[in-house]
Order: sequence, then structure tokens, then C-alpha cells
Amino acid sequence: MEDLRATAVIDDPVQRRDLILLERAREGDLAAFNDLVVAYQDMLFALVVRMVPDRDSASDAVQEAFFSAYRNMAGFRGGSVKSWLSRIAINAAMDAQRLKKRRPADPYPELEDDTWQPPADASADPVTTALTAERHRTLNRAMAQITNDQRTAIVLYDVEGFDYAEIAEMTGVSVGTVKSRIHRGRLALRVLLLDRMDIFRG
Amino acid sequence: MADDHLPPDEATPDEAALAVVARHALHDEELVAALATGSLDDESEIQRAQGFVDRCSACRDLHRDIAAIGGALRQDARGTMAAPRDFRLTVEDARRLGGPVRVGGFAAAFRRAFASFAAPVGASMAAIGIVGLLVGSVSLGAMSLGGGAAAVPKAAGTGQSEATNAPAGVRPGAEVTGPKATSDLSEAAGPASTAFAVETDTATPRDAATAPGVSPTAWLLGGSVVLLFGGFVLLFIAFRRGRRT
Repeated sequence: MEDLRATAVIDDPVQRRDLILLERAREGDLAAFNDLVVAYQDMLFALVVRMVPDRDSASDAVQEAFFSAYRNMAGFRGGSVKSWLSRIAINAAMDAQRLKKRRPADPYPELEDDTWQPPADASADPVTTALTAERHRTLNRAMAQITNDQRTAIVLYDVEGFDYAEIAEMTGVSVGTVKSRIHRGRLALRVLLLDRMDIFRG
Repeated sequence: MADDHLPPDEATPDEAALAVVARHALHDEELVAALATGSLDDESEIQRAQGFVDRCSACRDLHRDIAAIGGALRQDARGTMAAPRDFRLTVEDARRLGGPVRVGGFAAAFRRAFASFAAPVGASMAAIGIVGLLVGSVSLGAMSLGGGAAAVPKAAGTGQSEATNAPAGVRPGAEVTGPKATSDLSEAAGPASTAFAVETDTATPRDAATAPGVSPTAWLLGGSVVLLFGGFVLLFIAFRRGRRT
């Protein structure tokens, strides 16, 4: 079996830990794989629930993503375990979107997300914290109403920080289409948020 | 209809706003949004979009709002969210998925334990090996010296009694003269030395050292080399594991 750590840059302690856990998991240590699950389940859920704004569907997609990762961990070829898991989760989220598209009668319910916490900032006062939370809720409501393609492109670009080429590869469309989806998605968000833009303009 | 003929500076505020809206309707909002997103590559398109933003207040607002939405999305991404349930896989899940399941298996536990003990055990083995080699070398040196001393009287063929050579601890010579010399000594020293004589007769290590088989020194040296080698192997394994972790 290929030694994952031999080819990887392991200056980052988190990445080094991930590679060790994944190698142990590949040798059959389920506890090591579950350590990876615990390390990344919140992050992956946050990613998937932005693409599939329904907690139940998002949970199912995340679970499927971890199943898929476990099934395919022999195919991991090094690099960042976090990116590898993210890509699997994105695929699972897109599968969930396709499933939803086949049943368009059920719109996404409003995402009631009480667990979201704004980024820790020592200088943030209660007013700023409340405003950030309000922005998050408003943005989530609007995001649930744009198309799946636009939402996926926006989440991958603005939230996850992938570049256009990576998004194009992940979603199977051209770079031009990705750009178009992103700015059209933002235009659609602006229309939906027009009467609340005051909280975004700062 | 008379208003259509009013010069622009005499237009009412409503009419001015309408004029802005009418002009903006001709502008490409997608281009402005693309500019705000930073997804324009073509220089002419960038200049065209920038022209809209510079000249049209509605395009300026649009540009600002799109950028603000982008900023809010990026800020939102920095927030944390708790997963609603535990996604850890059970043993049944793992078996169903066909993965190599060894839940805290004996081999994994052994590997972990081995990794923990490899360094100290390896160091101890190497140290014992080195000490063994030193001791072995010293006794080998002593034997060589003794052998040389024994060879001198034999080669010289002096008339000295063989018995006088024996207590000096010259073992190679003792093989030739052993029992006789000892009994001669016993007779000379009386009963007190009989026990010594018996002891020296049954002193098997000395005999073994002179026997044609493998001497204890050779065993010691061989064992020390093995210990030293094993210790170094364990230390190497521990070092590799240490570098990984």
C-alpha cells in the first residue's frame, strides 16, 4: 500500500494528522476513520447545508459522503484529506440536489439553523454579533430561493474559495458557465435581498 | 405631453429619477455584476462595465450591492455550524461498505504498543550489546595474553616442574599437565588444598574454554552482536515512526 505521507507535504500538523489517520483507516482501523469523521463532520455539514438548504437532506448527504469516502479511501492519492472529503461531500450534495429536482413539489423548508455561530472576534460587540447573525439568516433564506446551479457555484466560489477552473471540473461545466452562474446568482440574490440590503452595506 | 419638451434642467425630481431608470434599463446588469464578482477577463468588457458604474448611479448601487453580498457570503463562511448528528460509522456500516474492518484489532494494538516500546527496548538492547562486546573483547584479550604466556615455557622446554605452571592460571598448558599437576599440588599443600583441587578439577567453564567446542567468550561476543543489531533495528523503526508522527 502506498505510504500517503511519503509524497505529501506534511509541514501542516493537521494535514499530517489526517494522513496518519487515513493510513490507519486504510489498514482497517475504523476508529481512525471515525476520528476523521469527528474532525470534519461540522465543516462538511456546513458546506452541504449551504448547497442543500434542508437539514435532513443535508445530513443524509453528509452521511453518504462519509460512506463514499470509506468505500473509496483506497483511491486517495495524497494531498489534502480535507479537500478530498470536501469534494466527496460536494458530489453528495449535488446528488441530493438532483434527487430534489426530480421531486420539485417540495420546496426547501426555511433553514432554521440555531447552531450557526459567527466567527470568533474578540473585538465584536453584541450589536455587531447580532447583525452578523441577522445577515446569516437573511442570506440563508435568499440562498434557498435561487437555483441549485447558481447556489452551488456561489457556495463553491464565495464560501469554499475554489477557483473557477476547480468549480468547472467539479460541476462538469465550462469556466464561462461557472462565471455566469456566479454573477447571475448574485444578481438573483440582490433582487431577493433588495429591501434588506441595508444590513449588508455596512 | 408638454413635459417632453421641457429642457433637462427644468425636469421635476420624479422625471429625473425616471430618466435614470430609463437609461439604466439599457445597461447590461450582468456585466456590472461580473465586474463586481471579478470574473471579467476581457479588457474592453471591463472598461465598458466600469463606464456604466462611473456614469450610472443605479449601476453604481448594483456594483456596490453585489460586492457587499459577496463580502457577506465570505464572512458567513467563517462562521461555524454544528452537525445535527454524529456521522461516525458503526462496525456494521463498515462491513456493509466492504472496507477492511479491524476495529481496534489486535494487530493495530500490537503495532501501537510496539511503536511505543521500540525506542527504549532498542536502546537497552544496543547498550547491553555494546557492554557485551567490550567484556567479550577484554576476556578475549586476556586469553590471548595467557595463551602467549603458556606457550613460552613449553617452547623453551625448561626443566621447571609442570605443576608450578599450573596454579598460575595458564589453562592451555593445564590441558596437558592438568590432573597430574593438581594432584601434585594437593599432595604438597596438604588437606586444606584438597577442596581447591577438587574444585579446579570440576571447573567446567575453564574446561569448556579449552574444549574444542565454542567458548563462552565466543557466545558472549556473538550474543552481543545480535543484541546490538536488534537494538539498532528497533531504534531505526522507532526513529522512522517518530519522524512520521
